[in-house]
Amino acid sequence: MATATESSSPTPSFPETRTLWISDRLSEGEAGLILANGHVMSSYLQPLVTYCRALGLHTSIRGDPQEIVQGFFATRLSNTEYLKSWLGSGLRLRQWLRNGLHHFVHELRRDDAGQANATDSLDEIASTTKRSEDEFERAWALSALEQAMKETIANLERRGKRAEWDIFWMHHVDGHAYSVIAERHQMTAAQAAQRSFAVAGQVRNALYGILRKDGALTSEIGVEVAAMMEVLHEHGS
Amino acid sequence: MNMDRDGSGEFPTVTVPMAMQLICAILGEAAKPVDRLAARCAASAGLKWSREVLDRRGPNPTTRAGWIAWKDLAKRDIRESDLHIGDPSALAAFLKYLTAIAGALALDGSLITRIDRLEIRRGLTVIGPMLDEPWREICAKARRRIDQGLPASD
Repeated sequence: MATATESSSPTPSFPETRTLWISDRLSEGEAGLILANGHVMSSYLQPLVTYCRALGLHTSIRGDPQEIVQGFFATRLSNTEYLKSWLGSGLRLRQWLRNGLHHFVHELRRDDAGQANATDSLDEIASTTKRSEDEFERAWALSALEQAMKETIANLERRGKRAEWDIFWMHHVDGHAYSVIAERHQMTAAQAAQRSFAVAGQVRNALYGILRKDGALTSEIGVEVAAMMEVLHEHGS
Repeated sequence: MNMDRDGSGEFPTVTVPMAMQLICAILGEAAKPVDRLAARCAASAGLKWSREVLDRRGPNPTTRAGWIAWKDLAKRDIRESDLHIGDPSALAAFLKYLTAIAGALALDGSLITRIDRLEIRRGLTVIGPMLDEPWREICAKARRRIDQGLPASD
């Protein structure tokens, strides 16, 4: 869960450090590792399953994509060094995990077929199609937004303000005018707009927190969000 | 309509149109009009909405002057501030505006606007495939016209 502190976007007065959240968790010992692993599994399971399916990685080892990704998490995340290695990679966490999944599948295939028949997993990475990459990025965007929504709703519910989410949703997703929403919620249109605006800010903070956990600097978040929209367009059309 | 949990207690999955709407909401006035329009077109009743908006305008013109008249009419109804917050009538006007430009381009290759060609191209690329025929084909043809006219470096 993103806290208000880690989700906010202050102007850094010194060079910003990537991946602050995960490096902080890893410095906390076993309890922190559990938190970091929990975040990785809940955020990246679905995108990696989508990627595995889109690229047909599972067909070469005759496995279920979900089980393969869960197996990948189980073997890699139990190693305390795995996420530490990512910190120095310069990659987004999602890209690091995607590459890691390739290596994992390669290992499974090697175990199945023996060393002689194993192909070089780096060649497989190089041959990754744009379509499967786009599907992965789209699944990641949906997962990140869903997580941002859940965080926001949970936060509102804790404060007894769940109705504010409904106002936000009715306007921005269902397309109702504030005057209609206001009537339903017994308030003025200006109040409904104000509450919806506040919720949008909370979703934004939650999403930016998730992107920062993935390795984006604050200065890179605008580009990340624009890229999310582009990859969603391709599906919408 | 509301994002309530369903009977199973599970959280509903975010769909692509929902995600587009959420990103526009997050960006607020910084959201691009094309992204706002794309989110509207991708929504569950988006195709019906765009069809109705374009059908209400009547039969397509057969001359460049006709497309220009449609473009000017649509432009009159676009208020920038409304467009950036996703006001439905501003989005409808923007759709009419974009398709009028597409119509002229498809007809004889005329670009009847001073807006940057790459910006128009992006609009046609994103919105065109979300529309009904014949608009889908008109937008595709218009985009090809732009591509033929762009410098090699593009």
